[in-house]
Amino acid sequence: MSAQEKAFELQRQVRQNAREYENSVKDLYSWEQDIKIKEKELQKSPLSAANKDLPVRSHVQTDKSRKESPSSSAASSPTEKQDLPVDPVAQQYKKANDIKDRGNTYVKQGEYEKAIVAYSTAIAVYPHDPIYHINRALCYLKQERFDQCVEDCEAAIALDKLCVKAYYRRMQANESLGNNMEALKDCTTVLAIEPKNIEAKRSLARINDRLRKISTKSGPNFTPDRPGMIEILPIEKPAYKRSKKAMRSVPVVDVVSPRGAIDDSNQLRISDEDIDKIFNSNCGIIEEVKKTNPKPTPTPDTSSPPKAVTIAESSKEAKPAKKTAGKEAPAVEETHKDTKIAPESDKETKPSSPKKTAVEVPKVQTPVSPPKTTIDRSPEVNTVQTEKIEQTSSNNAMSPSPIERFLPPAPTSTAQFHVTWKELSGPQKYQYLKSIEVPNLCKILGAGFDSDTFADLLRTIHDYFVPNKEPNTAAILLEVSKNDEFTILAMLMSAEEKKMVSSIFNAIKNWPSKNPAVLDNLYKEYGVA
Amino acid sequence: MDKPQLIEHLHESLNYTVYDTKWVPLSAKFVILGSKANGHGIMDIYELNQDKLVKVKSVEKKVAFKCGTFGAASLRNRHMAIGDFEGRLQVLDMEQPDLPVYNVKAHNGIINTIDAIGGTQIDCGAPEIVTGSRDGAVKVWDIRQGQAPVVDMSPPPQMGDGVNNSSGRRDCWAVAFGNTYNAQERIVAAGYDNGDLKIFDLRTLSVRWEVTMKNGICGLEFDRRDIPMNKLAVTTLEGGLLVFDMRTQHPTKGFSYVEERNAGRSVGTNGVISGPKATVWVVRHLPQNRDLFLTGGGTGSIRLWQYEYPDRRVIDDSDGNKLGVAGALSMVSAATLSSQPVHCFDWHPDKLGLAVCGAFDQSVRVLITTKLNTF
Repeated sequence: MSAQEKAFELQRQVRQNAREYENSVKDLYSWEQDIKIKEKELQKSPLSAANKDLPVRSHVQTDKSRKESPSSSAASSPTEKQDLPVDPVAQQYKKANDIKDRGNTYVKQGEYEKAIVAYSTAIAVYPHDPIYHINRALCYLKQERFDQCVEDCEAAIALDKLCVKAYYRRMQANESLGNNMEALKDCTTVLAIEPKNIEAKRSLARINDRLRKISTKSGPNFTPDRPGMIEILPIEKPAYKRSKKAMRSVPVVDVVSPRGAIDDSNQLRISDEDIDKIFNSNCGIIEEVKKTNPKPTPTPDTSSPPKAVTIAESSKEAKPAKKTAGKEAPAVEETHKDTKIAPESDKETKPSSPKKTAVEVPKVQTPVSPPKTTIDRSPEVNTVQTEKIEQTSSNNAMSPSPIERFLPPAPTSTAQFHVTWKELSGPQKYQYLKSIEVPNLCKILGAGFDSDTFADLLRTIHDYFVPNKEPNTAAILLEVSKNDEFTILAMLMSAEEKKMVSSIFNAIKNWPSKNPAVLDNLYKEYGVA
Repeated sequence: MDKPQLIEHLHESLNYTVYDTKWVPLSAKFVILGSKANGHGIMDIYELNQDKLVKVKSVEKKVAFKCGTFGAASLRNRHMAIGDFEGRLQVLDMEQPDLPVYNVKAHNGIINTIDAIGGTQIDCGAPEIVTGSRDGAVKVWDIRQGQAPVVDMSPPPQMGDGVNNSSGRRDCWAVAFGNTYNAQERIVAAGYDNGDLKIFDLRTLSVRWEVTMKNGICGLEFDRRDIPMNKLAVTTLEGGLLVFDMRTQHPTKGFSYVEERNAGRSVGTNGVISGPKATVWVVRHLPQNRDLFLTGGGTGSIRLWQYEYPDRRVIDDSDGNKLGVAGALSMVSAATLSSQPVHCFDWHPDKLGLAVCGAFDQSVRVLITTKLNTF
């Protein structure tokens, strides 16, 4: 039903459209006839009268005639009036431009003489436009009158500082004149104004090439370039970018020339002992003899500098020295006797080798002990006396060096502590340890805390702190026990060390200013009953 | 049901590319301007003769013709102003087309567009011709004044020596006169390839307003040129159609407009819009009813639009300034004529519904539009 309706509707629509179109076309045809008649009438009618017949156009025609009547020129319309250059300068400019255009056509035809005349007239009429100068410069350039070209370019630049063409043409002229530096300057100016100017870039490369050629041909370089030579060119910097610092003269030293005689006296002197110590070489007997040097003055401090003593002398004094040493440190003697180490003679005959001592006295050292310290240790274990000798010998070892070693300042880092510690003598260790603030000690000992250092530390406390009744002894011990390495070190303590610890504790116990809690803690930490 | 219909009445295939078609005022003749394959310009005059077209005259010139107008001509002397591919503006008398009445080298590049006023149809002000060219310049000419333009609206001259000064300039694609309601007032609207729309005031010789569209402007027309400017229709690339309300200019917002983005696409049988966003090449208001206008699109379709005014054309904004209100656009009818863009179109000024259009398929068509009297 609806489909039928739709179809009907569509048909009706089509028919209606067709009818309408038919009507329109009929209408159009009749209109065509009408309009053709009208047109013919129009053609026949005279020009002036034509407008009156037709209403649409009458106005225009009268309008036109009206406008043309008041003034013969077309200037009557408002827009025209405004366009006329009233200003005499503008008129001159226009005139100059016309002359310039004539010049341009001459240039295109290649008649540069005529063009130059035209441009010159243009400049005379209106001297404020750089274009005339630039164009004339081009003509001069073509005629190879380069000086005049340069003059014109300068005139143009005076009128317009950013006149790229003027710079470019001056560059060309200068190039032709052989003023390569001038040309280079102009070229860089062009590039500064127009960085993308490809022609200028090419010219720059060309000029640079030529400058280089000339400079290599007849310039200061008489010798041919060495391969790999670096050319240093001056850098042009604007004033504000330059350094404000005053210039200073730098002495130029020829690197190739032979080295002058260097003053040997200033060179670092390393004593033989130090070298031995570093390289772990045992020079045996000679060293032993040398060590006895300071024995006449067994004071622990370095105040009395030992002088070079003959070997004979030292050997004589060796025995009393041993005795004094023994008296000085009874506690040490005691401990060494207790440990019952191999007899003195035995050891002395054999030059102390670190490995052997390690084997023979297994509890003194942990097997992992670093070789550096073993040299210190080997005499220690030899005898009671050598123990003391070693103490002083470390003192002695420094004496030959030109500068006396002073007590170093308190360490601030672990590494500093460990490096310094090994270099110090017993009393210095005491001073050194005392200089370290107790709360920092744990941190300073750090991860590098090993059994040797630990033993040294204990010995120092035992030998110096306890006799002097240092009040912070317990605190130091406690602080040491806080180190991460301590637990394992405490477990691996030798009997000798344990003895030392217990003796220290016993001493502390008897002091009046003791803290039982701290002491208990210490006992627990050190595992000493 | 009673929609207007766009019906192809006559069709003429040609052996050259058509660039412009114009009715000769008060006649059943129209002019075709084009370019032959050898680059020569050709001007043919055809006359309607019942159910066929009769070629009345044919003129060939050395340079291809791009655009022409009768706007500045009186009815009696049918002078057509023509712009060609080499920037030459000439005014030809239809009776003796061999020798131009006026001939000037107007531009350095091709004259893309031309408009004229002050002739038959518009009775106010001086007869003037405006040309827009590829060299970026818009120039106003009066044939009574020698070889120089009356007004030259060129982009600022660039540094150079006259040989290569056309680089970097905009390409002017569309110009239109308007606002000619007395002897002094006159406005030129110019559209450029970068989407710039500039309104030049010829009385004060200044730029009245400028705005930039998204796309290049292909077509411009004021709805009526002999009244204070009312509406301006603008067509762009990628199918833009904009109608500006030119009555009220807001100090900051300028003129308000209504925009239709799909004007270039083809319309299917059921009114479904499909196809690419084709350029809208041309916009022409119906001379007898300026609320209706026709656009010719890149898909070969033409569309008839109606502009409906809003209830209030002006409102006061918060600052107390007057702001124009744009109306609404509705499509009345559409037809697809060709597979190639319909780029020129001309309503007959004297006969309602009669039009001629040219397309890039080397043919011209005479159209009849029915029921236009119902609007």
